[in-house]
Amino acid sequence: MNASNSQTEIVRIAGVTKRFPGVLALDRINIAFAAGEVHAVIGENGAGKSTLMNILAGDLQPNDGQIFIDGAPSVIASPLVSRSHGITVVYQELALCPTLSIAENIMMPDMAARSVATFVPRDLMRREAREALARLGMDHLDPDTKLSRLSVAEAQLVEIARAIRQKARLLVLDEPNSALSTRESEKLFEIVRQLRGEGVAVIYVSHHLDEVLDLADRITVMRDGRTIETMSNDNVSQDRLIRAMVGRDLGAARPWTLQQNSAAHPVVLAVDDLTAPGLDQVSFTVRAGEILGIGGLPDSGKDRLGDVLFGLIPRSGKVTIDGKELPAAAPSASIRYGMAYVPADRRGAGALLTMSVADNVVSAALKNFSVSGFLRRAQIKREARAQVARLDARISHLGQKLATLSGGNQQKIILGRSLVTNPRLLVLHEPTRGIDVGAKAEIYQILRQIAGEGVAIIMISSEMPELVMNAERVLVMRSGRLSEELRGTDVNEEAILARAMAS
Amino acid sequence: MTDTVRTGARAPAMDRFSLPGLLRARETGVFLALVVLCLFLTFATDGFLTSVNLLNVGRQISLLGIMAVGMTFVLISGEVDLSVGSNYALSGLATGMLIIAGWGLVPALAVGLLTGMTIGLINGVLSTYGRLPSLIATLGMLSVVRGSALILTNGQPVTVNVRNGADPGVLEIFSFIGQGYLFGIVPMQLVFFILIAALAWVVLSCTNFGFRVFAVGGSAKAARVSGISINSVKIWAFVLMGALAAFAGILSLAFLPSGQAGRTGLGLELDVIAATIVGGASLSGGEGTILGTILGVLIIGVMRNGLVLMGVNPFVQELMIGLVIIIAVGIDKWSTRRRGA
Amino acid sequence: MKLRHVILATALCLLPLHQAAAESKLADFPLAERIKAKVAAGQPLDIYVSYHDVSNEFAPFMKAGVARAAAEDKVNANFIGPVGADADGQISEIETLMGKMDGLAISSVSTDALAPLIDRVLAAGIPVVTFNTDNPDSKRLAFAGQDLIQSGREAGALMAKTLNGKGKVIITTIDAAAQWSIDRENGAREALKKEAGIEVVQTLNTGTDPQKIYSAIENAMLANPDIDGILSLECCSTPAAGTWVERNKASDKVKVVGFDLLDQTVQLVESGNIQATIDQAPERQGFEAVNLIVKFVKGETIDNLDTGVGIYTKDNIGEVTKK
Repeated sequence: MNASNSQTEIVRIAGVTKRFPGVLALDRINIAFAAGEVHAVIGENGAGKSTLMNILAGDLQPNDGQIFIDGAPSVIASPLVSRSHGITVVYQELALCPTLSIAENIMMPDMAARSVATFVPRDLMRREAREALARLGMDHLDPDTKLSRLSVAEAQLVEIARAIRQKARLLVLDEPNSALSTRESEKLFEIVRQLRGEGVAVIYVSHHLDEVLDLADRITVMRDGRTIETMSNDNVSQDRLIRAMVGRDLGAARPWTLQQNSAAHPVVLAVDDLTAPGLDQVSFTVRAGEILGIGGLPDSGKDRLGDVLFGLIPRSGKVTIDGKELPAAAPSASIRYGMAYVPADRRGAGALLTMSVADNVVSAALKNFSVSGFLRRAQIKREARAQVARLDARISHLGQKLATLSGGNQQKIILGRSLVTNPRLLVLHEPTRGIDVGAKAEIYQILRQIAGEGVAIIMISSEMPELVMNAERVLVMRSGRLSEELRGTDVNEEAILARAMAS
Repeated sequence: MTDTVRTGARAPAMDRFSLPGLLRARETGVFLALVVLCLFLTFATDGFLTSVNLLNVGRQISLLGIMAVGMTFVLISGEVDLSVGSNYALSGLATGMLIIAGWGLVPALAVGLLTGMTIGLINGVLSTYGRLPSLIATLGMLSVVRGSALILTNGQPVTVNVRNGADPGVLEIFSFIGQGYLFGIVPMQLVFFILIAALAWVVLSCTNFGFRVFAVGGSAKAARVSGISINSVKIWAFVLMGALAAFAGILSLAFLPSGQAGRTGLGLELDVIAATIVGGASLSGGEGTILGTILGVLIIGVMRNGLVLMGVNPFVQELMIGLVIIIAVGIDKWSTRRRGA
Repeated sequence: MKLRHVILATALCLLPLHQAAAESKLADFPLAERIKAKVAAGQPLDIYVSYHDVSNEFAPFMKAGVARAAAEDKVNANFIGPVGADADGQISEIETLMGKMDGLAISSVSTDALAPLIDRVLAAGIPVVTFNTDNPDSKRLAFAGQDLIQSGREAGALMAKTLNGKGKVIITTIDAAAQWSIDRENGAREALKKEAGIEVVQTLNTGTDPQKIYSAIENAMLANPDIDGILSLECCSTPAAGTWVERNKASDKVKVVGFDLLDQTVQLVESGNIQATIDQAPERQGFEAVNLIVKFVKGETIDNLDTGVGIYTKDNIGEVTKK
């Protein structure tokens, strides 16, 4: 399993720091990648893996620190520079052109390298693309097929085929097989090993610890923007990796109140056999006054659960609120039956950023604030003021645009908006993403208070400490299914991570 | 994890180079619509299916067609150019004024084309390095260029004839370019349109530049990580558009042979975009073909001709043209959705 | 033919205008104190002439007339207006300048849109006259220009004479929905109707782009091969109709009567492809626009003024080229 003959370093990253407004994404990290090794990089969400890969790809520039390529200090100023150093990145989000054919996508880097004033060598493109596909066992695909006709898995394979063709010296695979079947993944691993034999340095970013242990020569664990440790893959156990990822001393404290349970309270939401793209026969219940946590990895299906429950994505199965079955999978029905939903994507789907605080607060219940089509401004102001006070949102005035508020205050206003409808059930997806620590604590306080008023809350989150600190019970998703529930003292980060990554 | 559900192997291979392949593509709907329209007009009017009328239609669509070819490149690259009507006026009138001033044909044409290309270059630079959405940048240029044409001509009509100072020899060739007939039958404007469309087809479908235009418009990210310079591709698309708008403007002046800065090409940009869109080009970029654009131009041209032949009320004509645009693009979108693409 | 001897129909100027007389005098008008003071101090007046489209081919002639009046009357005259017949543009420009103007002469883009503004300017004590295109819905003091319906009648009568009272006619216009076009069309149809042998086949709306104008005429002539006359209502479809006749060598079969004296039109009249064209005397309109206001402020009574039509045929077109 150990790295073969050559141990020449291709890239060394020394003390690199990357700051985004309000966030320290990378904090003086050190890591090196050698020719002929598979180097896995693992860590929780937000640990800084993707930022690191983006710096290697030339998409982001570090604020501080030094990158050595072949021992010489270098600046990766653009994707073009990155490629000229022999670095090729397979992105988690596909970088393919849906309107072009498979062959055209695979050959795009070659075309970029050729002169503009040449003819497109269609036959050559087809031949080379077919070869690249064959290498991945994808002989059945016609290189002339438009990319938009492919499944996500096929597109992912096309992207990998393109990367492999480029004869990289350093190949970055960022969650390369999130959509692949087991068989397809195995084919990919075979090729990764083959490339290693050819002296390529492969960086493998993955949540799947079994694959990491199977494939990697060395493993680097990242946490909170730092490289925690780099270890050789000898006798390393999954438990050890999980402990390193979570941080033994950093496990979140669990308030004693959550040891109790609200089993005596009535069931508000009952979900039975819920099936939708990415979700497989999901069943669970939530009771009044309870916060139910849902955890899992990004590709586990948990990120779809909110949209499916709210009716944005078609589904089969039964969803019941207060004993009444929802007639249809539609947001309007969900709202009518007492559901409120705060999606993860605050900027995109959640909020009217260009509108005022007051307008945002009432936007989900406009009917209650208008008479024959005219808005009742005074009443809107009253309600907005009440919600702002209740949530302790810090704004300068009610007419302030939402976009000018901090993330934490935006989220408070969005919570206020969902509360205006007096919901029985509040579904929150990543309720504190991109919010600073102080504001997080305030939001948790507010959520507990809302639960205390008898509202059932579902908290879907990638941040395990958040689940540990707030949820009475935690359900972990994996491959679209729910694990058995964790409750009381069983709820801790290691337990959640172990279930999320279990093979 | 589930196995893949759909596979590309089941999708029919689209060979762009065979006739059945051509007809199976996006253009089919537009082509069928055109056939139906022509059949209808043949039976509904006396004058439609005559060689005189068909050659007239051919000439009448040529200038629109030449510009629509340029617009195809711009739209595929994910941009739009609203300044083409003004460019058509300024470049054409400038050429005309130079000929009146006694210039030779080649230098006058060169200056006219360079004017158009410069406008294209400005559009391109504003929309890429200048970070303005091309809708805004070219909307601004629409006025800037129109204003320049008015200033240049002082609002006076420009009539290219010997009395105004044009050299008779130059004028003869200039008039032939716009008014002449190849072999005494085919209008020169149509000849230019066919040549330009053929050349554009080669560039778009067979060259690396055409490939890059598609790549840049289809996914800027994919193009960028492949090392394609997005900005230069887009700028060249605008420059090409500018040159073609200028050439159309010059042909127009050679044909009439008079133009006026306040009216020439006014609102033409919308006709050009409409024809290109009817032909299947997508406003969001990445899609479009020269063949489709030709069909789109033909639909609009035949429609206008047919409505007049049938003696339809002019106000109703406007309405019908609008409906054709909506229906033609609608059929394409609706059928695309049903195909599940 | 008698027609060829019809020269500058000065007699027409003596015909009564179809609008009711609209005498206005200073005594009945609440002239703004600001303007009164200016007159008393002997300062030159600031007069604004807002033309409905400063980018069309008449604008320079109007402007020349305005400049001549400014020199003769010793006032500051400013020639303003929107590019491309834009009513909103015309309104906002006048609103912006209202505080500065001592008199306004206006040719409206749209009667409806501009009438309230004209009344507002009047209410502010600023004299307003209309020129070129009247705005009868407003309370303007007077109008200087061609009587559009009358000029349409002239064109219709010329066409009827040219065809000897028999034949099929199409009417062309670059904007069939515009008020000036409707007025001229009504006048023309009224005159043509007097001849039983004449049939108006259709009104062709060509649009404003020169290429489109030509194509529209081309299509219409193909659709109606038995047309004997094309009656154009304005400057711009006139040379297009003449060019079509010239290129199709149809001057024996198809007669053209149109408006205005564009270069191309003049040449086509000379070559016999256009039988007659009617001039609007734009320079005079610009001059009279300013002059009426000056007279009014000086205390003279002013009234509507017909700036007349000039009729040009092959016989007298030489007068134009001589100038």
